[in-house]
This record gives sequence, C-alpha cells and structure tokens, in this order.
Amino acid sequence: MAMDMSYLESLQTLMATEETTEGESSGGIWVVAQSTAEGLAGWADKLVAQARLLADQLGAYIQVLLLGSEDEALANVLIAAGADGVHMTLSALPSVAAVAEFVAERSPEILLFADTPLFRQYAAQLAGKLDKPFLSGCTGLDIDMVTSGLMVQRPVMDNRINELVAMREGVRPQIAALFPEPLPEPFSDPYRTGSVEVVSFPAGDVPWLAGEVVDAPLSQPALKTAKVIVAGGRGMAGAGWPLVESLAEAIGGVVAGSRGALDEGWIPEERMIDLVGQRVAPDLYIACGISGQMQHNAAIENARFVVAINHNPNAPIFKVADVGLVGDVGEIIPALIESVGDFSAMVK
Amino acid sequence: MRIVVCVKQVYDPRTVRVSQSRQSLDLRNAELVLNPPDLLAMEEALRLREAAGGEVVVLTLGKPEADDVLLWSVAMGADAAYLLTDEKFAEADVGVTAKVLAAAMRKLGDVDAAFLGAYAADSEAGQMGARLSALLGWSFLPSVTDVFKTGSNLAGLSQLQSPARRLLGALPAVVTVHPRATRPRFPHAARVINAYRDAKVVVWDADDLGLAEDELAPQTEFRSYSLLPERERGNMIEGSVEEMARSLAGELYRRRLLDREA
Repeated sequence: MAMDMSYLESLQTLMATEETTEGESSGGIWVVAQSTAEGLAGWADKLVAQARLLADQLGAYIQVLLLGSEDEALANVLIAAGADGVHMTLSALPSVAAVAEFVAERSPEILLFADTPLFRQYAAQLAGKLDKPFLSGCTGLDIDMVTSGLMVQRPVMDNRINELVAMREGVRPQIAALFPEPLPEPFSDPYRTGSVEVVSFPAGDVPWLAGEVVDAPLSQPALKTAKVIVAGGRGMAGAGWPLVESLAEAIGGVVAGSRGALDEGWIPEERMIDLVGQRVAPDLYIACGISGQMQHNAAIENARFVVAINHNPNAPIFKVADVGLVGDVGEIIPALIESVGDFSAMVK
Repeated sequence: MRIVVCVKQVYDPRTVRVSQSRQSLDLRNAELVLNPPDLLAMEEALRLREAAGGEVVVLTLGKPEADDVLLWSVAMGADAAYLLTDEKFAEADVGVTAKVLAAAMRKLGDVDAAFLGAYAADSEAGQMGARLSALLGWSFLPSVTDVFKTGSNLAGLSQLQSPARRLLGALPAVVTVHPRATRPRFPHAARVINAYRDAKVVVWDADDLGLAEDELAPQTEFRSYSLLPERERGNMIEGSVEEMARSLAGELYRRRLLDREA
C-alpha cells in the first residue's frame, strides 16, 4: 500500500514538475500552520492532508508556512502528511503587511487556513490587504475541474443548509479557511521528503494578538433567554457540582439543574429544568449526569442542540440528545473544558 | 467622537424554511430583520457616545427596503442614517461590500471608529470588520466587550482568545462587538414612531461613492445549496475520554455554539 502511494505521488510530482516552471515554492498551495509551546496545533497535519487532496487534483506542490516554531521535527510531521516544503518562523503571528508581501512574492494558487477564531480574523485582514477573495467557515473543499478554481462548501442560515461557493475564474490567490474539526486523521508517510527552511519576518506580531490577560467572565443571562445552558443532575454527586459551573463558565453558558440537583441543594428552585420548573429553548443544552426523566426531557424539547453526558448508556436522556457521550462525568467534563479552551484560539 | 455603525438587513434564520424537495431555501414567509449581532454593535457605539460625546452614524448596504434597519437604528439612538444602494451592488460579496463600506467611510470623513457586529446571521462569514480595518488601514479590535475611549485610543476586552485580552487601538479603529457583549436597548414606542415618521435617510449609490465598475466585480460566486444530513437523535461519540472531548468540542465549535467566535 505504501509502495503504491509513493509511486502515485512520484508520478504526480513528475506531472507537477512539467506544469510548474517557476520552481517549487512559486504557485501551488500554501497552508498556514501553527505551533505553540505545547507543540504543533492539533489541526496542522490534518489541514495539510486536506490540502494534499486538492494538490493531487491540480498537480501542485504544497508549501507550509509554519508559525511559532523552527523545530525541524515538526516540519517533518507536516511533510509526512503531504507537504513538499515547510517554511518555519518563530513569529507567532507576523504583521498582516509582512505576510501579505510574503504571499504576493510567492503567488500561490490557494492559501489555506484553519478556521479558528483567530486565524479567521487574520486571514480576513490579509484578504482585505491583498484585495483577494476569502471564504471562511468552510466544511469542504474541492476543485472545479472546468476552471481549476477552488470550490467550497459552507453551512449558512444558522447551520440549516450548506452553500456551495466557487472562486471566480482566474483570481489568485484563493484564500479559504477550513473548520479544523472534524477532519480525518492524516495518512502519514514517514518516507516522504520535502525541503525545510527558516524564514524571517519583521519583529512584532499583529497588534490585536497580544494584550493583558483579563479574567473577566461575561455576565450570566437569564435562563429563559440563555443561548447556552449547562445543566447537572444527581449523577454529579461523585464528581462534584463545581464541575458543572466550570463547564458553564468555559463555554459561556448558564448553570441549571434537574429535579435531582434541586433535591441535592445544588441549585435554587428557579434554576430547575422541569415541566413544573423552567422550560427552556437554548441553542445548546448540555446535560451532565442527568438521566432524563420524562418531566425533564419534555422541558428541553425546544432546545436546538442537546448534548448528554452520562455513565449509563441506557439513560433516557440519550434518546433526546443529538450527541451522547457515555462515561464518567468526572473525567469527561474536565477534558471537555480543556478541549473547548483549545478551540478558542492558539493552542492545539 | 464620530462613530459609524455598519448594520445589515438579513433574513431571520428562524423564519427561513429549508425546502427539502427543492434543496433550497424557502423565503416566502421569511422575515427581514436587523442582523442581531449588529444590535450589540449599535448598543456599544451608543454607550461610547454617551461616555465620550459625539455622534453615531448608521450605515447599511442593501436594497432600498433596507432603510427599515436604519430607521430602527435611529429609534435606538443613531443621529444620522445612510443607505448605500445600487443595482450594481446586487452581486456584492464580502470583498466588494467591504470596499463599498470603506468608500462610504471615506466620503463621510472624520470618522473616529467603525463598529460592526461579529458576524451576519445569514452568511456567517464573520470577516467584514477585519477586511474593513485592512482596507482603511485602521486599528482593529476584534470581538470585544466593554469598549471605552482613553486619550486617543479605544480600549476593549477582546474575547477572541480565552481568557480575554485587554486591547488598545489608536483611533481611528474598527471594532467588532462580541455577540454577548451586553444587552441591546429596545427603543420606546414613541421613539420608533418618530424615527419611522421623521428620520431622514441619505441614499448614496456607486457614483456618489466614486466606485468604478471593476471595483464592484465580485471574486466569489454562489453556485447552489445542498442539504445538511438530517438531524439524527441519539448519535453517540465514542473513543477515549480525550477523543470524545475533542470531538465534541470540535462539533460545538463547528456549529458555532461556543459563542466565542467572531
């Protein structure tokens, strides 16, 4: 299998060589990856692997701009995932003007970002600076074989429908940001080779990256109008109620509970989700350690997206949940808080 | 302080039906509203005016009937309203819209700050503020709450990263307001009636803004809609604790349920 793949790739490389006359690092697909103190961003190699799928259709090379590291080992991970060249810099997020110049010099066909909150804003500024198209919030990428242009799929109208949008013919670079999750694990080929070099940018990150860290949680809206509710039930007894509050804080949600939580004295009566208590209709409802009695489940029937975390796989809450996780709330909630924090920005 | 608030008229996604048979949107009973995140931008701008003095100008690009969202903004407290409308804007994508807004900002002159909502509830591109700041060469304060003026700077608490960061940007600045920054005011009925009866909306077209045809050519084109997989209850996420957590966080992020995104 590995043999076949490398044969195919060398064939593609051959084809690409014939088509590309300006050398390896001109044209092609550029991917912006990132590394922090904790290592390569979790999406970095997956994004490169997605770019590989496009590159194979175009017969193009993939170059990666790796921000925040000059560690060759990390570059090799990206090469194994499909990159042909990695350009590393210690700069965490160089100024938009500097990267605009860098991009203009290399005239990529496609410039690909991960759609994290931070990189979306960064790519949008870059696109504005270059006066080029940028499609954010993509969940799928493809090549229009007629125009050789990029086509993307992106959910719109509150996630109710996908729209298919194409870049106009001939516009370069075509900038897009792909949601980093869920992306499949990349096929990693340790025998792939590629070039690695260090590039430098003028000192100074984008001004809106740095700033004094402030620990000021946003105020809690009322239960009735809350967009996000994190509710706990009797199943929180072992792990402890504060976990529910921590999760609510981490995702910007309001704390509530089931009748069980009220009986345990963890919530006041006005925070009880129940047919005789509060009926709610948030965009997101996370039920932690709530088994899901009929009285409770009926009170959340208008919630748009329900997540249930419970140790009992037969708990009725899973029947009304969009997504269920079976396991120990004491383990899952802390892991979820960490993962949610990761998505807010820079880390993997 | 002269603050411009850029607002957008959108179809309220809750009133838009998805036609399964035609694989498209059914807009027959859809309601046009002021993009909800823009209400927060209006609110923060009005509070800044109340604290620092000056005026709030509201701006929209849209069809002639988009004056409705301007009148509502005037009822909330805006001092002046501008409608940018032209048949040549009909195909405007994000890039073109940013150019039109920037041209309007230049024509207005003496603008100290532009406030925008974090995203539009229909297209959800979430990039207008960033693009505008790059086009104008202004400072950028993304996804902020608690905006105030200090000297010749604007300060705000940016929620783009977690935990939040205190940002300072020299004026003029583009500010996008976090969707949970505050609660927007709901104007008294009398104010609404006065606005709809008396408020003047200035209308500018492409010529007024000095925009040539080639600047208005979109670089992206809508092709079609495709249906999302049907909502299935009872999907289980499996794997190790870390894998489950990561997968769920990714799902929530993709569905824009983490409320942090700009």
